[in-house]
Amino acid sequence: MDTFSSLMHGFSVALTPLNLLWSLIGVTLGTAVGVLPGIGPALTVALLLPVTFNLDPTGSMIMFAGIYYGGMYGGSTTSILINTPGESATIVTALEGNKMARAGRGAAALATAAVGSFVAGTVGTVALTFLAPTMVKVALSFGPAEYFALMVLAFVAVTAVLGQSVLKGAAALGVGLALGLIGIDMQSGQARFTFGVPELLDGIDVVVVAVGLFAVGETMFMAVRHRFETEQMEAIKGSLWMSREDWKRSWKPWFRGSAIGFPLGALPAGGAEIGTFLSYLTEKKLSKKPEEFGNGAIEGVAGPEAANNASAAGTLVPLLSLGLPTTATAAILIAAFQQFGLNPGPQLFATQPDLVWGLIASLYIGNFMLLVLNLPLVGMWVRLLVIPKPLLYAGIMVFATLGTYTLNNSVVDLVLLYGIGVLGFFLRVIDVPLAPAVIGLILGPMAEQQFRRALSISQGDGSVFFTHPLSLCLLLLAAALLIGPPLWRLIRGRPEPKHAFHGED
Amino acid sequence: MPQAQVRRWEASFGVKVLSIGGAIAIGISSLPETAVVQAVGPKVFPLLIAAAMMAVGLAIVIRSMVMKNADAAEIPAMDVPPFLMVSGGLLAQIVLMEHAGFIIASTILFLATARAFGSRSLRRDIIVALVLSVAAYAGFTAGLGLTLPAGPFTDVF
Repeated sequence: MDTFSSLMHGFSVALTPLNLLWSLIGVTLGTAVGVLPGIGPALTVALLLPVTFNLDPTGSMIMFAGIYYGGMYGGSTTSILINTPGESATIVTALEGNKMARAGRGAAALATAAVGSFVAGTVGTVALTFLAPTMVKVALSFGPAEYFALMVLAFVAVTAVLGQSVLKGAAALGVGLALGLIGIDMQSGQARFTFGVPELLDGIDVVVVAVGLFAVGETMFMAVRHRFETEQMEAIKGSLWMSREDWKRSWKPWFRGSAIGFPLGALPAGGAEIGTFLSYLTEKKLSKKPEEFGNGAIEGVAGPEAANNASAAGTLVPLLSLGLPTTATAAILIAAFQQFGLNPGPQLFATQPDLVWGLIASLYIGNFMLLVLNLPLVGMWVRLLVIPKPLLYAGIMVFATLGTYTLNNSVVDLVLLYGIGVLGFFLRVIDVPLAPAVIGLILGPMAEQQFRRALSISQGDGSVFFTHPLSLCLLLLAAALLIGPPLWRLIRGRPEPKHAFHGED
Repeated sequence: MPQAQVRRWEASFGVKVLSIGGAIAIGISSLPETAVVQAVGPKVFPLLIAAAMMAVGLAIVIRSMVMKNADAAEIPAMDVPPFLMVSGGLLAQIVLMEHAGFIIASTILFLATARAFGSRSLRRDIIVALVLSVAAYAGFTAGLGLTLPAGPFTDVF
């Protein structure tokens, strides 16, 4: 089946009344939870996981697609109206968007974010539709050595790219990898680091880790800080419809943002941060009124918001075609697949075409629903922002523990949640990025499996990672990412002119 | 925030990362050997992680010693009591969940967290907590078909 007819088949799955309903519930819940301050897309998906426990796999995945896009969408509303973005990728949106809201142009900022999200989501989903099958063909030629090298690249990318300090990112990744070791070793059947607790034999659920770090740790952090923070909610002012000039200034950034965001999301390089930031810099450079940047330039909302959403679609390329999660949100989506015994990857396209293409088709539908729902309903979402903080965080804690408990109906998970929450709190205090820990937890066991497979095929010969050309390339790329930036700073930092090693600056 | 304190936090973080690495190495080395012959056993990968963590931890410690002012992350101002209150709420829930049931355990967690954020209206909090946990209980058990501990309200739902 070629891509187009597969997609049409996907639409025939996604457009059944029941699946449309799941999609609608997904985007609505996703937006509602995503709007809540302090809740980013990763936590939105993790908290809403129990809602899908008893659905069939296809319906559940369709609902997840809606939750994923809805959560992204809700986050941008929050960062425009309150200056507390739920995740780092919307920091840039908050930069200009919040300034616009303060200047009484909040409605225009929300509108350009909404339409921009739709444009970028659609562009990104189209690109995903055609890129994913190609990637599947590439992925089928991958052996264990290539997979392992790809995962090493992903490890390096999430640590080197996220957050300011590579060392702190690496430490967070290490914590995730260490937690991933807990449980039965699949190949030898030996229990590792289970300390005699039978509940630990299955390993620590990624949902427990994500909710612990992003909900419990974050709540503790906000609690100890609440006396020192004052935040102000901006009322939506101005017409919800963008003026002619707003449209004129927005449409190019939407497309440029999509073009920047998608490839960066699709590369196994983790996160939308770089994309949104690059888009912001691009728009600032291209703007005829650069002096407006920092004071509420609409291009500075339109571009990064588009980049953020296109990158969310891009993230699904390695997730669906390689089974490789490159963001914390993607790591939880993997968990959503695994609860049905499904493993994303090239085989899934062959064995579960209904599910994969229904999911992709539902991304188009969910994206459209979000546009139709959210422009008129934005006033309702905004009401969620005025929930008093004590009630908001108390509610988050109740749902965090509820979601965790329902995973296995076990108090052991609540104990783990508490421990990981305290850990997340301390990491947050010293400004360690949390996403690498979540990614490490889910990718670590996969990497180990591929590592051991590759070595058992080569009969213990470790050179296998360097003799396969593709594997070597990926590892070299990882090494370049790791030592490139500090080396670059070292070279650039040197004032001597005789070092004729100038970049194009 | 005095510079010395930031350095202490960073150094102690580095030491912790280093010791987790060490603990993994020791823990995995004490595993009994497997009978199954494998090219790579269950110890190799954990040892790699342990080595990496020890290296990263050491690097963080060294950096905290040579760190310049500009590189130091700020340690934000914090109050301790709210942390204890949220902790207390969570621990109470762990203890009470299967004995007193979800509704009571969650109501206590809710009240503790709301207190931690400086809420002064106990009556409002109790009403919201009860409405929320009863609604969540009904929604998740009757609506979604999941099981939650009922506690004393076994016959109500």
